[in-house]
Amino acid sequence: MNRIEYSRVKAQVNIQGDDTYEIILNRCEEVCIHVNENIQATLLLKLENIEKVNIIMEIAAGAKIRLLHHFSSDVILKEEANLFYNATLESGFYILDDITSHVYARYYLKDKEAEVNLITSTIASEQNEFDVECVHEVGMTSSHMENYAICKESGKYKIVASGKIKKGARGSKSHQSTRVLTMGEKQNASVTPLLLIDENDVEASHASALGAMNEDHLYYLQTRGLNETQALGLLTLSYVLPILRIVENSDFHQEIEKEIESKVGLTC
Amino acid sequence: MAKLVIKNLHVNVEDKEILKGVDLVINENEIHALMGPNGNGKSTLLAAIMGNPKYQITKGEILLDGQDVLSMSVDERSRAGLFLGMQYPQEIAGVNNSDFLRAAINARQETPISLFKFIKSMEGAIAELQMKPDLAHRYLNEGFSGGEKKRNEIVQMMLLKPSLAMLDEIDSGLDVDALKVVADAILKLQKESQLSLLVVSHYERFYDLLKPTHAHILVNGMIVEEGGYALVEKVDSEGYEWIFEKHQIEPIHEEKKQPVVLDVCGASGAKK
Repeated sequence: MNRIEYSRVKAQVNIQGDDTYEIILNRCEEVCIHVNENIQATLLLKLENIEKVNIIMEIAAGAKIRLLHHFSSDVILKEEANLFYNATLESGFYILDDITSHVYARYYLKDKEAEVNLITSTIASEQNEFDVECVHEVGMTSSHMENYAICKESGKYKIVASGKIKKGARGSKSHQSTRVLTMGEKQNASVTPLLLIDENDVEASHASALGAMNEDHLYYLQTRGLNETQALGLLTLSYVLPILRIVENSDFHQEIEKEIESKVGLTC
Repeated sequence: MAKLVIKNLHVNVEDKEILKGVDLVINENEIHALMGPNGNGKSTLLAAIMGNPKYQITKGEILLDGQDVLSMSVDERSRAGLFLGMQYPQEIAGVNNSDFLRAAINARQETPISLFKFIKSMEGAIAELQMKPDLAHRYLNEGFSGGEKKRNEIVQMMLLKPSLAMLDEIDSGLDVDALKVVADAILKLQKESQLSLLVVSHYERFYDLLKPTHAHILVNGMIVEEGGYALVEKVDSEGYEWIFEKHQIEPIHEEKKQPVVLDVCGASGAKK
């Protein structure tokens, strides 16, 4: 595993070999990440002492990148990624701490066979906003967004998730789903799924579910001996654990799984 | 050891009295069959014992080995040794079987179960119930067939090792072969752990496999007839009519759900 730390205002990150990278961005304001052709890499991007950052990514043909964003303090993050022929980006954001965040992300699928899969998992106890869009500029491209959130008492969660298929992008696929669990009466959760389609020959879908804890689920788990805290923890895990798919079979998997379990107050 | 004593139990659901004074004693290693027409309180009794918050106990007491069950929360009842195999197990997306069961086992012991021991136990239970090996990694009951859900309830029972298990129509949705598999697993656990059982079923076939030591007929919220396995056979061959006549009682007839009738919508009204 490579561990690289950048502490300049502007940072240039070049991914040239198949590997796992822990990238610490300290006080950076602008970061360019370039991934070479046919590279297969897993990146854990940790933001430290950063209030606002712009990330620009270029993912060359045939590259397969798994990228997990981790931030533990208030942040405004703007990310743009360009994906070329047969490039795949699996991008994940997970927010477990009591922080305020705003994520603005745009993924541009510029050549055929380019693919982006996005997973966001958020425990919203302050204010967490996402504005994400996958733009299909050419045909035979695909995007899939899965968003999970638990909106705690007095938490605010807002997501605008958009799949945009431009005219001529035939055979493209754009799918998205969002599940939000609301807790308490003061929380405020807003989900806006958008499909902006300017082509006929496409596949697209969206699904969203937003609501309070299912009392029958809670009762079922309690009949097996879990107290309310443990049962809630287990149900909470179901909204956060999908993020682990981004780092499956990597050095980060166990570390992040433990972090998630301790944050939701449950050790399986 | 498990001895369940229920005295004069009255239970309301949404202010309607369903159980009207139930008395029942179940000793260690006994198998009790609970029968009766639909809608007369069998599932209510089991849910009330387990502590379902939708059921209000208005009178009576429930004791498990002398401990006051009614003062316990649902999870405390489970950890005290009660288990309810449900008629309609919940489907919980995102929670996988192994995470759930490991957490449930750990909730009832001071030292967490080792991963190796847990996997071995779970694989053993899955094999015994003849379920697919991927069960451990599937989400809890999500996408399961009716029979798979019922067998998964028994997998849970085998791993949690209760002292008194209540099985609510656990045989519904099971084919003939699966019924035998489930009954064998229940009897094996009973032999190993002196498990007491309270079993609700409408079918003699299941009771024939389990051979209950006691049988109770619940009508209109009260146990009106009791006996041994011969009572199960008599109900199977003659039905409940003779019980209604003998005790001069009317069963509660289950309310049939009315179809939803859509009202005239504004658009069609405007045409008139």
